[in-house]
Amino acid sequence: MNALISARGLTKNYGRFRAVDHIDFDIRPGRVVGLVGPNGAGKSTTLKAILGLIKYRGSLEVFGRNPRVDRADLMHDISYISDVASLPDWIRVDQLLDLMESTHPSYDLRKSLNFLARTDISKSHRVKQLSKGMKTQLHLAIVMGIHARMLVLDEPTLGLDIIYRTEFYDQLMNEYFNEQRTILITTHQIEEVEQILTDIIVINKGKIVINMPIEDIGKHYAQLKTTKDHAEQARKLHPVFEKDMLDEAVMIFENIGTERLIEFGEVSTPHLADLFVAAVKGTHDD
Amino acid sequence: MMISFITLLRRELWEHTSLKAIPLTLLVFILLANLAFFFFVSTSNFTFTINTDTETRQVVNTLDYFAQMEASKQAVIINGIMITTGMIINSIMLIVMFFYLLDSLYGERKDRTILFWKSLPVTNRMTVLSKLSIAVFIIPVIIFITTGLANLLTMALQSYTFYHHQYEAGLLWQQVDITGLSMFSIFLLLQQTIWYFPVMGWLLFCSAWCRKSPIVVAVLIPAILVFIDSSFMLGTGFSEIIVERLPLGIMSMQMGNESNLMTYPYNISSQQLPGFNMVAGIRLPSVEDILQFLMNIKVWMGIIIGIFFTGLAISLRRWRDDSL
Repeated sequence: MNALISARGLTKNYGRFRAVDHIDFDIRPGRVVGLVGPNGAGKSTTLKAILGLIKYRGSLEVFGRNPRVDRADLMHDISYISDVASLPDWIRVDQLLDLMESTHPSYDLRKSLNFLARTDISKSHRVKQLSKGMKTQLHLAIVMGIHARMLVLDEPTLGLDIIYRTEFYDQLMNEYFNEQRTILITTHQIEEVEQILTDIIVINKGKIVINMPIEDIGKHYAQLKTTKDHAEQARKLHPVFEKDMLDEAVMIFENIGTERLIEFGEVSTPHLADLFVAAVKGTHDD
Repeated sequence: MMISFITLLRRELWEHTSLKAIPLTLLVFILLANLAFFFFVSTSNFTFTINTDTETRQVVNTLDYFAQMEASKQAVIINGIMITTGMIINSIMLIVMFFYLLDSLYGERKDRTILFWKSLPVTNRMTVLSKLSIAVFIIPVIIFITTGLANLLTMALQSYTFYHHQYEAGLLWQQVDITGLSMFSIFLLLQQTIWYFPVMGWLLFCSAWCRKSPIVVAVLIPAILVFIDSSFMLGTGFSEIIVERLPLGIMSMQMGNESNLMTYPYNISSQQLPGFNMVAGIRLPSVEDILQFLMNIKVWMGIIIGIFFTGLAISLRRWRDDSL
């Protein structure tokens, strides 16, 4: 299936600092893709390039268009939520809905109103009167009304408590997502999205270190839980990551058959959070 | 597209509440001034002296003095007050416009809302033109309406003052030239908008360009260029151009400044009124006056410069994000 987003050699410099360094990736329709990495890894820069907000080098196609010249057209197909601070404080909810209805040709006001009816947000509220959690709900209400093919979320739950974070992703998956829609999420809190992702792209220091569907992780990576006695022998197989847990050691191996590990202990598919740490720590150690 | 553009204009009015609040505040001040006149000035039987070339008169009561004046002199005073009120409103709103334009593209980066605005399917050109349209169309309309309301308020309250003191209530209405005042206001606003268009473009450009304090850059760069030009007597003519274009606000009230094309058509034969230094009556610009203004090379240079700076502002906004 054709990729909605295709990047080749995407590079972005801020002065002498290289925020994104010759990265390649494709994002296919109907997927929930996590673009994850530590703070300053280049996630938001990559998103800004996709959204046509910054200049970059390399090739980037979004819905077959060049985001540098077609940003406004692209926004018919893409809905974008940055963290909650980007909504204008002064605007009233009814004004915001009016604005969306007038600028988005396919905006369905009823869907937003239906969503808002289940919250404590009233149309006369100004954004500055809302809590962070309510602002996120408002953002989500807007997204529900936009008939976009792709939703881009940049650290959407930053600063929210666990209740709102969980509710946000539940509503997103249950009420927004379907096979015609694609979601691209950037976050550095992988544990809160790992249950919903279909694909993961880990970026660190401007470079992609992991890029694969979730179902392929088991084919490429294996996690071994072993005793201290067997750990020394297992280390000879060059794990990409290791952590000690009381009298056990947990190691992650890349591209190695599970039959070679099973003699040392319990083998499983690694958790995304461990894999993320392994990928980032590995590149930190380079 | 038209609906989106109108919505963008409405969004500017939602955000910049000063565009509504300041005219309303001015109307309240004018109301208070009229009430003050009603309660204090009109009822005071004080004596003051007016010196003219021919006589010195002792005046006992303001209303009495006014009622006994010749009709032509009454018209000069009434229409003069109307024009002065309009000029004050105009000058204050030009200052509001100055700050509005400087904030229009800088503010959205400062508060990071640019990420939200750019998530809408609206082009940078449309966004910047909507902000320019506020300065070019909406503020002049606000000035016109506010001036009209202020003058209506003054006329109504002062007619009541006359009526209350047993003078003819319609005295003021007989002398006020509503059509003349309206046309005066429209021509002034049109001419002023054309004349200040390059300044508007420059302010938009500074707002899109500066990473902090656009007001400092907007004022400092022309000031430095004027300083260099005049200190070293380079004779580039730049100083004259800047001085002509920059007297935003209060200075625009000056009548008869030869370098200021804006006031030229209205600086007509001044039939001086004893004790007052005011233009007698309203003369609207003739077709010749308008053509003379429109054929002036300075006007067209200004329009080209304004378009140039607006184009730069559009281009700059394309690559602006929340990183100031």
